[in-house]
Amino acid sequence: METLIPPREPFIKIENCLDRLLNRSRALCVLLADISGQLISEKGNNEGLDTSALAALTASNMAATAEIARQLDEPAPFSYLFHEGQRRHIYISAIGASFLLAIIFDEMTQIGLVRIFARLAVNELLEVASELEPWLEKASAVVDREFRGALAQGLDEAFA
Amino acid sequence: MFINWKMREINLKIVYYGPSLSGKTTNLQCIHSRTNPRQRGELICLKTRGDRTLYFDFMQLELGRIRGLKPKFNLYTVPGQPCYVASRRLVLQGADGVVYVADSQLNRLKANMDTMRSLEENLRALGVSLHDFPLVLQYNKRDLPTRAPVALLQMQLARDGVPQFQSVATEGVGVIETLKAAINLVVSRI
Repeated sequence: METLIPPREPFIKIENCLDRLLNRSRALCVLLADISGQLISEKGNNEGLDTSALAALTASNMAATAEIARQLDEPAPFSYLFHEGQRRHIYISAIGASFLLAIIFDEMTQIGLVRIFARLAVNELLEVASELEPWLEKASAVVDREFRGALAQGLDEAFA
Repeated sequence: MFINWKMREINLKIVYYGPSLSGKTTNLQCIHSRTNPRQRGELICLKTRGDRTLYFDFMQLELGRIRGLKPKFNLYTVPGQPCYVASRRLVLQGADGVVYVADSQLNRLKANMDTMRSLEENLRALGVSLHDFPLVLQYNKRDLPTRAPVALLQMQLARDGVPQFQSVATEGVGVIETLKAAINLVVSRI
């Protein structure tokens, strides 16, 4: 079977940007997801975290607060959210209209630092996002009859 | 659907939609319990103290690699209660397909139709027509003595070519068949 080669450049840029953000902000973990909650990339210590579920929950959180902004007659959705916990905190920022960034951190750093470096990362990621977006939906390039057949078989095996 | 080239994953989002207490969460609970733990994530339920869905339920299901890509299915439910209309629209964002879980009971016929109408409206608000959208119908609670004839449910909810399944989600009957049909339908539309 053919194995598809992904376009590397936008992903390298994203990886570098997330690495820089993680190191500079001294966060525990950073996640990049799209607004429907699909996880695109993750960096840092994600041990014990269900990052797929976290991506879905943060995206829903952003969507719910965007709706709150609309109800409040705000001209645009809120650009970031911050939830402070007893041990861990999460800072979530929109990246344009299609993506979001979630930064999980603890007492090793401060919210001010996280905010500064998150803003820098968001600006950087905004540029890359436009390069990345078309690739995320190129499903028709891989989904043909052979793929569908293999998928149906995989489903049958999963629920045999 | 999108392909995550970095993680070599192909992601699908399927939303279980339907009137309140029709069995959407029960569908997900059943899928979760019948899936190999290595192939699924945690079942996340955002619910009220009264055990009703407040925002959504979520679980991820994954299969082995196909052509080097790992298919991942993100399954969501919406809250069925009418007051959560805004939440339903939010959960529908980015959906690739919908499983409509109808309550077969005679006294829920109107609720089924109202909710189908709300699905159509919510999709329209997202720029999608229900008629062009992958949809699977599930007539749940077929074990109850108060169930309506399937022909009546079909007349009210079905349209040509929509796959339909009868189910008793509390016993797992028809649940996996519905899920498989939804996934295959979504993939066939790409």
